Amino acid sequence: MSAQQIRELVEDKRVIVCVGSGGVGKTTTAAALALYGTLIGKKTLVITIDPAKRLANSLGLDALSHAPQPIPGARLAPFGVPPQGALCAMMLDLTFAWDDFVRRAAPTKAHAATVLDNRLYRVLSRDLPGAQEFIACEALYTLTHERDYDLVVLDTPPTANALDFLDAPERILTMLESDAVKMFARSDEKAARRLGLRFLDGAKGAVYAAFAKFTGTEFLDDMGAFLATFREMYAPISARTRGLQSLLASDSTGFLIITAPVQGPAREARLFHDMLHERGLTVRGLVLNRHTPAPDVPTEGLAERLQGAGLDAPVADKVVQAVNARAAAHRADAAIAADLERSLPADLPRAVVARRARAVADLDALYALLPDLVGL
Amino acid sequence: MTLAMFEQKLHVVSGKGGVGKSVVACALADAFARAGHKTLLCQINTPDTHGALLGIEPPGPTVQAARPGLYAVNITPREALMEYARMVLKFDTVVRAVFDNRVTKSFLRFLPALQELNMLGKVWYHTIETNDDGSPAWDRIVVDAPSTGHGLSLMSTARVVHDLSRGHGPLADKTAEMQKTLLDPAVTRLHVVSLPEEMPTNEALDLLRRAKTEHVAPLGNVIVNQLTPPLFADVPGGALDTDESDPIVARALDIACERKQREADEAEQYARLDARHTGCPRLTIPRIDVAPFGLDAIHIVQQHLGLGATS
Repeated sequence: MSAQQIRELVEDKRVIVCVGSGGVGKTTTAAALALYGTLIGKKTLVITIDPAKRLANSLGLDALSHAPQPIPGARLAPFGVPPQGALCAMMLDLTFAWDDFVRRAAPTKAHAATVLDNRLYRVLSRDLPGAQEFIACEALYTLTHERDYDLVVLDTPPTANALDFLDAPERILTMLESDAVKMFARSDEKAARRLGLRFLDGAKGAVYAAFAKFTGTEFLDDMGAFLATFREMYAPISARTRGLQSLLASDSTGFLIITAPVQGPAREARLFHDMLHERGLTVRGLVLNRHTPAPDVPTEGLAERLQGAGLDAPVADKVVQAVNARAAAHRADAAIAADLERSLPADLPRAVVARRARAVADLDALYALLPDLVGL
Repeated sequence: MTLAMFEQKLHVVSGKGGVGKSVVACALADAFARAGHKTLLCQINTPDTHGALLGIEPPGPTVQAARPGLYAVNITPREALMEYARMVLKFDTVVRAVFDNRVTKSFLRFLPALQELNMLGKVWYHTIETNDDGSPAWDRIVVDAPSTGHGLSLMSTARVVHDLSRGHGPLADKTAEMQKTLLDPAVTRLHVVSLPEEMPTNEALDLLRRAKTEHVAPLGNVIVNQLTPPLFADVPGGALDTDESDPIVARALDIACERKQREADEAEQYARLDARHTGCPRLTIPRIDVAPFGLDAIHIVQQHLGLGATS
């Protein structure tokens, strides 16, 4: 009764973080877990990154607002939501979130404007490895601390590298603390910096000279100017990062690995598990999405049976083909699931969610996932 | 038309996460190699997926022979930068002194543009790499690029860095040179992989649009993966409605109805990826249900891409 343990997780935890490879149904799972939280009377928020349009619409996320949007009680009533249960959904607009963070974290308004205007800022806030992950973490931290949700479910952004999500905040911090950044950020004024560099010790001078050889000095100057202003936000970034680390490690937070019976993602699930474990974070469960159910139909004599029931022979033949195809898909999915099963700890709670005929696109379809997902 | 899109030297494969980019990249590289082209298959700093798909050793950060005619590498920012630095700075000891420096290491880690530029730079370098006799070192290079957003930013790095360097200095010259190759339709093609589902299709269309408007790379094929072969398109819904008391027949008909529904939903997304909308030839790979998914399955994929052993 593993799905029951996933259900207990939603009942017990304040924060659930859904991690997994791209395309495995993280967003849908996060939304379904949040719906269950609401059903048991929790004031729930689901933070999604990039929901499918129809699912977003069903969650009331028609417009990009970057603020939690309540789902009208009337739409939740048919599912038997108790009076104290409420569901809010939010779509994280990563560019907006960074600008917003800079405005909040900068010491002065003028300072914020300097950062936002920097030509490197646009590129870095979008492309810096971990920039998206950092801002998703920041939003999670802020929303968990500044609003009184009973449960926050986070759908993590697709990462180029599985490590990024967990390491991003620390990496940005390390970057701002590093000698190299201090060196390049030492001065944003060209002449003064050049003068300063002349007196740098040999190693740093050599490093700079080596870099200048293939970046050119102007690029390094721009970088210096950017870092000098960005470092001013060190204290708030540091506070957020420390706060987030304790939130993620806390007993009230649960990590769920989401995966699907696809070779690459299933192997990555194992990787996610190990990486979380290495960081002292506990994985509380695994959700295997889109598992093709067995046809449970004997194919022997099926064509005759179907014809006996009045189907034309060509149509009966196609139905048999469909049943055979379903059996083949089930076997392939089950083989990957069995591999996954062997590679993960036996006591890890897991839920297997059957593949649906149609994409999950509304609250009814989310609700229909709950028996598989949480054993409702 | 299809084959023409596979005749260039550099093939970059992108699309949403989970659509089968690695499968397509491996199928292309293996087919090129078997057709007698000396081929290099590149992963970009990801946990290996190519080893299992092709039945080869998991590729490392330096180019290694996988089998006759096929070479593989998993490009990491550090190794790519070291290689590049060796070319610019000439002396290995200087390179090591600079790049093993603690200060440099931390600096490199956060400089995303430079990291990506070096990885893209390595790919680019292989397109112009020559043997001692001056002949091209590679006939085909296949890049299993990161998914949509990260893939676009990787492929745009040369342009972005060129803009940041304000058009002069060594970095500006190098990136201009890279852009010339990457934007040349006779050399480079960006293939976009999708599934016949809403989100992957949205991302594929977005990727195609941005690749075109932001001059990221010349477009190649649109490849739709895991299409459910249409069995019931011409079977009217009523033909599957029988008032049936036999539970086995009822269950079989449920499966058929679900299949018919899925085919219809997929057809809707599939149509959005039609060549008339995208301007790119559309290739289709049906859902292949085998596990483990290895070289035999890759050969089936090749047949569907028009790159089968006999063609």
